[in-house]
Amino acid sequence: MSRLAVVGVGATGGALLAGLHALGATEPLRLIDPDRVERSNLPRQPWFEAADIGRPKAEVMAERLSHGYRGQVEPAVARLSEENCDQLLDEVALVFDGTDNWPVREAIQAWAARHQKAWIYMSVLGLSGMTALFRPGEGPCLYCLFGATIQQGPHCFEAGVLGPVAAAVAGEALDLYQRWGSGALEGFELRLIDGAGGRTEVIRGRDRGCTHFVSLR
Amino acid sequence: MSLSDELIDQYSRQILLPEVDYQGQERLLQAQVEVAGPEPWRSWLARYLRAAGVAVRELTGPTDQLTVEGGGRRWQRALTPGPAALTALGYLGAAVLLDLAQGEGAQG
Repeated sequence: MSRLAVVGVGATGGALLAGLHALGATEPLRLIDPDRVERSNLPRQPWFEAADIGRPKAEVMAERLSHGYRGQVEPAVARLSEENCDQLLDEVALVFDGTDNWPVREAIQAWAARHQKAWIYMSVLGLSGMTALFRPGEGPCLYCLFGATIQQGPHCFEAGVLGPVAAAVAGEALDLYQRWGSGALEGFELRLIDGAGGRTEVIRGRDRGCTHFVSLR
Repeated sequence: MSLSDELIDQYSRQILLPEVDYQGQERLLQAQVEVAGPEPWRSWLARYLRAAGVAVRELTGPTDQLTVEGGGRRWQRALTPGPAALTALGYLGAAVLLDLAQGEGAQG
């Protein structure tokens, strides 16, 4: 069974884990997050409780999953980086990006390109979100979509976020994962989650040839 | 009601949203709803609504949809098996919170 990593177990990563649990998944999981539970996390990360404030998110989430999740769960209280990603993502088949940190996301993408592994991008801000499954060597990369010079955008502590929108993002990400796993995902899809309108828009991309990771192919 | 510093900290990411704002958070903290639908999705929806400040009562209900009633309004979303159920839960929860925060369906 392929091991999955969830990097960031906050609003999107946590909802994704809740979804895997609810759907009866059995894949071994590695939960990677350096942060501790804060009071302001509680409205959009409802698997945490007030009694968890101050505890590492990865450990608390692993505890919650230990009640009923059918696969192995390993927490890692660490910030993923270019330097440690080969170690933290060892034996991982696919990464779910649940971080809101752009350099961490870039480290996941670079790891995926080096090891020819797929990864699933998730983001949420305000009432909107996005998700896409990236496959190195097939279709666009993050830089093709958003530009190679993009910097960190606004965080949720600057723009706000509504918790259930992150659940909708996680649901779409899980759908991409399941379709990828069964070989049914053809081509590239960027899914735009409209939390105000209650609907998902799918943007399909043609493979124009990614040039950002060409030397690694 | 006015919100304590602790509540403002707790709900700050929602209060920051123009669609919710301080007044909307006050409305959420006074709102009461009933949630019905199949498990585990009903519990997850209830968790999200409670975490946002809403008082929630859970009821058994239809197995193919999630419904929320409160403040003279009713929201519902069909459920299909698989990850789409999580997506539906998310969209339904967002709609309920936005409407309650904006005072839709409530008096005053």
